[in-house]
Amino acid sequence: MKKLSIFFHDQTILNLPFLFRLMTRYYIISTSLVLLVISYTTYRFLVQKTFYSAEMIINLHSNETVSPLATMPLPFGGSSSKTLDDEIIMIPQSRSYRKAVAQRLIKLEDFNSIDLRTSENDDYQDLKGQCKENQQCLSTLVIDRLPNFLKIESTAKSPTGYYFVISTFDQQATKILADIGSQVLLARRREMLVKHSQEQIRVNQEVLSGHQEELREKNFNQMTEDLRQLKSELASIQSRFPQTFSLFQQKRLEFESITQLHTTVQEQESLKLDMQHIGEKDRLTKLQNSIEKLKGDINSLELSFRTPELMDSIIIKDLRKDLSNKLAEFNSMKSGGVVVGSSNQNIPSHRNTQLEYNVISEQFLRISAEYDQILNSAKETAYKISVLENAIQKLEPVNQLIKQMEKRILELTVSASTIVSDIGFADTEATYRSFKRITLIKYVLFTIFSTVFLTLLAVTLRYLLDRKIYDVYELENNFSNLPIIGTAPSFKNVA
Amino acid sequence: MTARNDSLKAENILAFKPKTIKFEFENHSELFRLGETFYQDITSGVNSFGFSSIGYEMSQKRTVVGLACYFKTKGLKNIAIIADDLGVGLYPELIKHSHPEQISCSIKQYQIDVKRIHGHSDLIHLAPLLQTKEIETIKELKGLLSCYDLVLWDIPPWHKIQTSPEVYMNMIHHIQSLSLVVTPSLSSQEEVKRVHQFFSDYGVNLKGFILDSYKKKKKDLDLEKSA
Repeated sequence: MKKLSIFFHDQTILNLPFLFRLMTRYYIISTSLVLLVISYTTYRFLVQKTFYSAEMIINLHSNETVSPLATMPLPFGGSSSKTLDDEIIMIPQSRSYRKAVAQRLIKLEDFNSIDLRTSENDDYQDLKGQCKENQQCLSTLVIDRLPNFLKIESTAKSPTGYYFVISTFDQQATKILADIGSQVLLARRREMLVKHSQEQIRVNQEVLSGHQEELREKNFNQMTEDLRQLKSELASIQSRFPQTFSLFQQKRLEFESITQLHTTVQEQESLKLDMQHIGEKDRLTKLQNSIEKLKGDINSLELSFRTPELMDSIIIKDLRKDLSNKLAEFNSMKSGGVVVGSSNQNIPSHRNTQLEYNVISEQFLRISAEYDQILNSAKETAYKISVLENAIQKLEPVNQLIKQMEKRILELTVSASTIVSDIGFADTEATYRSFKRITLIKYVLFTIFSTVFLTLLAVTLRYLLDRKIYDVYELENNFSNLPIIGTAPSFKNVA
Repeated sequence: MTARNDSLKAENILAFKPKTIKFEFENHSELFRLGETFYQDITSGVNSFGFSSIGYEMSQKRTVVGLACYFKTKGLKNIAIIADDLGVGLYPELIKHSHPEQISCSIKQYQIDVKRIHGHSDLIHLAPLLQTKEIETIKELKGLLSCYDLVLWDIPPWHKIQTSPEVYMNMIHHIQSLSLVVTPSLSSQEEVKRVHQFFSDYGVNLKGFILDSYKKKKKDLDLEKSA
C-alpha cells in the first residue's frame, strides 16, 4: 500500500513529480515506449490511404415540403422538417437507390478500372473476379459497398442544410459516383414522392369505399330521395291550402248564417208547441252561449291569422269540430220544441230556409272534409319529413367526410401526375478534395496521449514490480522511522 | 567561521600522506556532513560504530575508510577498522602502506595482529577476534579493544551473520550504533527491511541510512584493479 500511496498527492491528486521521476528512472522503458508509439502512429499515418471526396450542395426548391410523408406528422403536432431530414438523408441508404446506381455503374466501360474498396484490406478485386461478369453478382457486390461511399449530410455549412458527399479511395470513382449518384438521387426522390402520393390515394380510396359502403347499407341515397319527394309533396299541399282555406271560410260563414236563420225559423215554428220542455231552456241557453263563445273564438283566430298556416288551421279545425258537435246537440234539443231568445217578426218561410240550409250545409260539410284531409295529409307528411331529416342528420358527418375525401383524392390524383422532385443540386461545381481519414493533428494528439498514458502505465507497473530502492524520496517514504544521515564518501584517487 | 576553519583543516588533512598513501575525495562536503553526525555521537560517548550495506558491499568499506580519515581530522588518535575481508576494496591499498604489529589491551595480554597505517588507523581482521578461544565474552572483546578511542566495524554481509549468528554475537553486542549503506538501484526494499529487522531484533541501535551512488561502482573496480 505504501507503494501505491506514493502515487497520490493531497493537492494534485496524482504525484506528478514522482511519476516524472519514475519516467527518468526507467528511462529505457519510457524512451522505448515513446519511440514505439511514435513509430507506430507515424507508420499508421503514412500507410493510410488517401480519400478523394466530392461535396455537392443540395437545394430545396421550397421551404414547404411537398412530400406526403413529411406532412403526416403535422396533424399530430410533429415537425415536418425532421421527417424531411430523415427522408432525404436516408435516400442513399435505400436499396432501390443503391441498386439503380449499381446498375448504371456496372454498365460503364470504365467499371473494371474503378476502385471500390471500402478499406485498405478490402478484398474487392478478388470478389469482383469471383463474380466473372455475372451482372447479378456484380450488382450485389457494388450495392453492399455503396453506403460506404455515398451519403447525404445535414449540415449548417450548406445554405440549404444538405450536402451530397461522395468519398472513395479512387479519384476517378469519386467523380463517376458523384455524377451517377446525383442523377439517380433526383430521379429517386421524384419516384418517392409519386409513390407516396399514389399510396396516399390508395389509402384514401380504401377509407372512402368503407364509408360509402356504410351509407349504402343505410340507404342514405334513398332516404335523401324520399325526403326530397316528401318536401315536394308538402310544398304541393301548402300551395293548395290557401285556396281551400278561403273556400272553407266562405262556406263556413254561409253555413253559420243559414244555420242562424234556420234556427230562427224553427223557433218561430216551435212557439206553437207546448212549452213542456221549459226545464231544458236553461240548458239550451248555456249551450247557445257556448256556441256563441266558440264562434267568437274561431272568428277572432281567423281574423288574427291573415295567412293561415298549417298548425293554426289544425287548431281552428279542432275548435270548429267542437262547434259542430254543440250545434248538432243544440239543434236536436231545439227540434224537441225548446225555444231560445225572442221571436222575430221578419222570418222567411220555413220551407225555403230549410232547403237553403240543406244545400249550404252539404257544401260546408264537403269543403270541411276536404279541408280536414289537407290538414291531415300535411301533418303526416311533416312527421315523415322530420323522421327522415333526423336519420339523414346522423349520417351527414359521414357524407361530408366522403365529400372531403373525394375532393382530396381528386387533388392528389392531379398532383401525382405533375409531381417533380423537391430537391435539386446547386449550379456550382462539386467541391473535390483529398484527405486522410485521420488527420495529422489527430495522430499527433493520439500519439501524445497514448505515449503519456502508456509510459505512465508502464513505469507504474515497473515500479510496483520493482523491489529496488532508487532515491532518498523512496527511502524516506518506506522507512520513515530511520533518518538518512548522509552520503557515502567517494574517492577520486588513492595512491 | 569555526565550520569553515574545520573544513579547511580537513581538506589539508584529508590529503594527508601516511608515508606515500594519498586519498582524494570527490565529495568533501558530504563527508564532513556525514562525519559530523557521527562525531556528535562520539562526543556523547558512543565509540563503536557498525556499517552494513545492502546491494553493494564496497560502499560500506569506502564509508568506513572515509569516516576514519575524517575522525583523524577531529583528533582521534586510536582508530580501529575491523573488517571481515581485508583483501577487497580499499584495504589492499591501505595494507600496502601499513606495517604489521601486535597490540595487547586486555588483562589476559592476548595480542592482536593489526596492520598499522602510520598516523591513520589500525586494520584488524575480524575472524581471529571472533574465533579465538581467549575472547569468548563480550567483556573480553571490549577489554581487547579498550585501547582504541574509536572502533569502526566493517560488518560482514548480513546473510553470513544470519547463517551463524552465534559466531558474530560478540561483534553485534559490541556495536553501539549501526548504519546501513544503501545503494540506489541495487538495494532492494525487502532486503533493507530484513536487515533492519534482523539487527533490531538483536537490540542494535540503528542510526540511519547512508546513501551511496551506483555510479561509483566502476570507480571502485578501477581502484581495486589499481590496488
